[in-house]
Formats: sequence, structure tokens, C-alpha cells
Amino acid sequence: MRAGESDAAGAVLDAARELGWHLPPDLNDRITEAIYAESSEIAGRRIRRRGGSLRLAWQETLDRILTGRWTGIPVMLLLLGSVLWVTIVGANYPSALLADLLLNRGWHLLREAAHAMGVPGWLGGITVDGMYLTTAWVVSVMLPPMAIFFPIFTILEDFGYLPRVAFNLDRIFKAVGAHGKQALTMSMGLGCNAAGVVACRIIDSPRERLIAIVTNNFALCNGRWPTQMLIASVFVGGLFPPVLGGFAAAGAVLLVAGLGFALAWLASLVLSRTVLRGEASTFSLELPPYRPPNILRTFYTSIIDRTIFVLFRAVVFALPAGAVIWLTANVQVGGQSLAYWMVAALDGPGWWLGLNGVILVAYIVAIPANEIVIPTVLMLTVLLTGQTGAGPGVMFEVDDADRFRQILAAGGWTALTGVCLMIFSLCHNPCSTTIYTIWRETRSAKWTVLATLLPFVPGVILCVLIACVWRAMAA
Amino acid sequence: MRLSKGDQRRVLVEDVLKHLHDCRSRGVSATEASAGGALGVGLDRIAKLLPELVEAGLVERRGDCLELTVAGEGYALSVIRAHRLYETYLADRTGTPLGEWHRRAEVEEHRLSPVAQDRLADSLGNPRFDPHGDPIPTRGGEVVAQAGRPLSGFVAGEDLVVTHMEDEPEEVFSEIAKLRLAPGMRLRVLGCSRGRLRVEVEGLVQELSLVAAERVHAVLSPAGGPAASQRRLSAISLGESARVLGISPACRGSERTRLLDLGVVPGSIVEAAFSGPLGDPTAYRLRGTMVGLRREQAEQIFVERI
Repeated sequence: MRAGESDAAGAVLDAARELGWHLPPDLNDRITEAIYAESSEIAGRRIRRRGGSLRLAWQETLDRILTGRWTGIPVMLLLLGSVLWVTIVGANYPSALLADLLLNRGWHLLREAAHAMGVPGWLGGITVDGMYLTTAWVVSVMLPPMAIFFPIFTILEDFGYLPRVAFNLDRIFKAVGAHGKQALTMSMGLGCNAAGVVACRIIDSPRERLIAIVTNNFALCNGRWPTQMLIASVFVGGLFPPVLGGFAAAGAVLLVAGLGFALAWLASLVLSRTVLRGEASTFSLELPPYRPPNILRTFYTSIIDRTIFVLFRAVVFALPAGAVIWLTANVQVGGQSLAYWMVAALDGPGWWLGLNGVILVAYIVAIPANEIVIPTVLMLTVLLTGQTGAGPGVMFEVDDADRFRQILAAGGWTALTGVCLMIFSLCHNPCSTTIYTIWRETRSAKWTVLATLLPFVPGVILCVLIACVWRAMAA
Repeated sequence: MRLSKGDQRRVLVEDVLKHLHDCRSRGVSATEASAGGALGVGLDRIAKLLPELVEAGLVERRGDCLELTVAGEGYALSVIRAHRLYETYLADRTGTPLGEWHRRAEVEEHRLSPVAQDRLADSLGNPRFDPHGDPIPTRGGEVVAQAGRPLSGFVAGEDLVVTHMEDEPEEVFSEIAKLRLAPGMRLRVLGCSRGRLRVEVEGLVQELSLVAAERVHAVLSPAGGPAASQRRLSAISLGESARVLGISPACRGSERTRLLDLGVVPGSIVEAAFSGPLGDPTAYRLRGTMVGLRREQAEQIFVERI
């Protein structure tokens, strides 16, 4: 390049630099906006919309009902309630079938096979009574509700209803600095907290997404509904005359689930005032037109993406836990089983919580899945009170409410234990599958630990309070 | 994070240079005492540091007064460049609440090397002004003079454009931040009563305290004030339609991109369709789709009634 040219180029650059200061400060935005406006204008000229007015009117009517001032929230509660009811009632039959197949026949078959092959007793205990039985239990209790809940949920999603739920409830979540879509991730959490945590991906602002992940465990998951209902019908229902017992029990369960939502709201408030401080950031929610759901795709996504995915993780965690459960009941230390010593050590703290050592030990060893807490409680109770069960380290269940009550009464249970267990079942650490999922989603030990320990705060406070008041009133 | 002794010293040097630059641009003279006071550092530390700065050729003494040398000025501008670039980065690329921009940039300005500054500037599209309207010094160390005077100095009826918002002290800035003012917004002074200034900002009437008005700078608007038909989208009643004029300059980063993606561009027609059972958010019909927006978001969209 010759000297003259470089001078000229330099002069141009200088002039450009000088002129640059006179451009409006938001030049980049203006250019972007102009590009957007121009392209939409070009597209608008060539695209003709086929907007059937009949279809539009139908959509509007639907929106008026589903997001209406007086109808929006009642319709939502009704729908969610029906989904849960269908899930819980509908899951009973396939669960019973699976239980018979896996727990009854499968387990006996494996036991006999182990015996026939001459497997030593302890090895058969760990593998068949521990690992197999626990995993089979998790599968048979977990699979049917998820296989019902998730497809229905996905159908509602595909139909276009779920964004309306977020739309309806956003105000409530905005008040605590969270995102309206948290209503969806929490509803998903009613099916399974691990799936609920994964669903938090739909929240695009990182702060609100973390709030939703950390508080998801307050949504009472499918693994805990059966525990709640069993305990409520035996202990809360028992406090009322038989005619009212059923309603009282159902009311108590709904109360606990509602308490979960209230606690999630409160926890979100605390989080957005402390560790996740900040304003409610970007919020925009597309409300897609209603359309007939694509059933095939729905089943594919809900069964493969959600159900199988969660189940696989649960199984991975259930296998080692099964071995641990069997070992705690069978390893003898100082003439007593390991379970005995653990229960003895935790009886003190358990008393303060209105619970007992057995429940706390069950929550520790049954961390892989909430579904196996009650079977573990039963196994430990009969082990320690010398009643007949299925054998040390072998979980079992009873169909008969009276027999259930008898076993637990021998373990020192009262109505207080039942009520506190319902609270504790809502407010304790997430299951290991969920904890692992939280870690996978956040990639942060800090948030995983916080999400794991946070539920204990209201849990311990509520349980201790209830126990103190209850005992003071009884005395 | 704990800084090593050397780093602590460097941070102090850079802060002193920034203070001297600040004094020069405000036309007041800087002394050891003013530096100590502004930085909240003991006079003995300043007194110990100054001979070293003079030695290094960054500062000159003129009697009691301290002045930056050419080299010192260049160094100060580089730190300021880092600060303003980092604030722009926080505003455009992260969801950091705006109350925290300044505090974070105060730390980061001492960490960004000139090379890192250039890389950041390139990735941000070489912005010329930071989110408060302060000019960002160029690579060559050029910086334009700040235009505008305090809002409190204008009289009712004048049409203005915001040029700059002071981000210190924090309590005053948080009041300005709540109004979501930003450089480039047009406003009209309506009047002043009981110590509060009433202004119409792009179709929305707002009030601010005189202390805050003192820290918002503006110039007379060459193109006039907001038109009488201009509104914020949040003020459109259900069933009404409006034409989009633009998105507020205060709405930046991913929030802005999201709105653009949804088709909130000048010329789009938007209709307030229905609101949720709790009154907020509201669903807007826009380019054949339905979008739910919170009130705060709709307030960031400038429209005119049709």
C-alpha cells in the first residue's frame, strides 16, 4: 500500500470514529428492530392467514372459561383433582397385579431357585430379600401411577391447557419473585419430583428456574400419596365416627398437599429475599391455540421421556438400598441387629418430632424411594417388637387396616405419631433420584445440598410444635 | 475473595487515579484529603502511596493539588473503560439486577486487562455508552464529553431526552431504577409540587424526588416530546388495539431479544385480549399468536392508540 492511500484510509477511519459519537446511543437496537420490522412486513405481504372465524370464536370461548375471573381457578382445581383421583384409583389395579407378579410369585420363585442352587443364606438374603425385593417394590408401586399420571398430564400439555395454568397462577408466583411456570413444574412434581425438577427447564430465566428446582420437593409426589392416605385413614380417620372417617382422612391428605404448596410459596419468598435475591426477571408466556392432542406422540414422550427415565434412575438407586435395608436388619453387633442400635440412637430425636426411631431409620435407609418407607417401617417394627412379619430385613405390607394398626400400636404409635408422620412425609429430604436429578440439572453441589436440606426446616419446626401442643393438651 | 498485598496496592492506585480523573472532569481540584475521603482510606496510606505515583510518572503535584499526567490519565481511562464495559456486559448478557451493576463493576474494573477489555468490547458490539449513559472510553483512550444537565433545572412544558443517570449514591439510584428510566427516553416536565417532580416519560406519568431529579441528566429534545397518542402497552384496556412504537431502552439483554422474537417491533398491531383470573398477567394478540405478559413487561412497550 502506498503512503498516500494509507493516509486516505486513516482519514476515513478517523472520520468514521468521529462520526460514530454522533449516532444515537441505541443504534444497534434500532437496526435490529428495523430488520425485524422489515422482515415481518415482507412476510406479511406474502402470507395469507387461514383464520376460520368459527375456530377463533371457539378458542375465545374456551379461554373465557379456562382463564375467567370466576371459572379459571375452580376449573383448574377440578381438573388437577380429577387427574390425581384417576391416577390414584386407577393405579391400584395394575399395582396389585405387578405386586402379585413381582413381589409374591417372583420373589418366592427366586428364593426357591437360590435355595435349590445352594446359595448361602446371607447371599440370598442380600440379593433376593434385599436388592430384588426392594427394586421390585419400587417398580410395582411407582410404575402404574406414573404410567397413568404422565400421559394425562402430557395430553393436557398438548391440548394447550398447561400454559393457561401458568397464566392463571402467575400473579401468585410473581409476588414471591418466581415464575408462573412454577405452577406447572409443581403440578408435575405431584407425579414425581424428579420429573418436576427436569420440567423446570421450561423456565428460561436462571434465577426463577433455581427457585422452582429447590422448592419442587414441596409438591407431594406419587410416592408419598399412598403413605399419606394410609396413615390418614388409620390415624386421622380413626379420630372421627366411622361415617365421617373417610371424609376426614381425605380432607387431611388434601390439607397436607395444600400445605405443601403454601410452603413452596413461602420458601420461594424466602429464597428470593436471600440467596436468590433479585427482581422477577423476564416473563413472557406463549399461549398456543388449543388443538386436539396427538395421542401417539403423547404416549411416546410421557412413557419414554418421563416414566422410563425416572423409573430407571429409581431402580439404580433401589438396588444398593435394598442391600442396605437387609443388612441393617441382619448384621448383628453386640448381640443386637444394626437396626436396633440405629433405632435406639434415633428414638430421642424422634420423640421430639412426635415420631419414633423406627420412622427416622426408615427414612434414612429408604432414601431411594418414598414408596418403600411404609414397608420398611413395618419390617423394622415387627423386627423390634418381636411380632411375626416376613422375616428380618424382608419388607412387607398388610392389606388389612386393623392388622396395620395392631402392628404399629405395638410399636408405640398414637394419633400424634400419625399426624407428625404425615407432616414429615411432606417435609423431608427428596428421594435420592430427585437429589441426583437436581444435581444433574444445576451442576452445583451448593444448590443440591440446599434443596435437600431445605424441607427439613419447616418439617422439624411443624413436627416439634405439633408434638409439644398435642402433649400439653393431652396432659 | 482476599486480595494479595500487591493486588490491594494496585486497586488503591487505580482508585486514586479514578478519583483524580473524576475531579478533573467535574472541574474541582483534587488533594490528598479529597482522595482519602472519597475512597474511605486513611490519609497515611495515601501519603505513603503518592510519592510512588509521582515517581512512576502518573501524578504531578501542583502545590497541594494533585493532577494526572498524560500517562496517569490514560491509566485512569483504561480502568473507567473496564468499569463501563463490564456494566454494559451485566446489563446485556446477564440477569443481574441493576442495583448490583455498579458494585460488581467496581470489583471487576481492577481485574480486566486491556486485552480482556478489547475482547469484551468486541463481543458486545463495541458499545459507545454504558447503561447509565456514560460514554465508554475507546481503545485509543478517547472519550466524549457528557451532554445534558440535571432534570431539576428544566421548567414545566419542556421536552427532553434523558442522557445520563448517576449510579451513586445507591439509595437515590434505586429510586431512579424503579422508574426504569434509561438514556434515550423522551420525557416532558409537567411540573413540580411538594418536593416531587412530575414528568411524562414516553406516555407514562411518573413522579420522582428532587434529589433523584438532580441525578438524572437530560438535554432538550430536538424532535419534540412524546406524542399525545403515545401510551405504554400496560395502559391499553381489554379489547383495544394499539400500534407498537418500540421497546423501552431500559429493557435490555435477553428480555429485549425475547420481546423482539415475539414480534414486538415498530408497526406491529397488538390487541389486549384478556387477563388472568387474578388480574395479571394479560394476554395480548400479536401477529396471530397469543402472548401473556406481566404488567411490568407491558410497561416496557411503547405503543400508540389507533
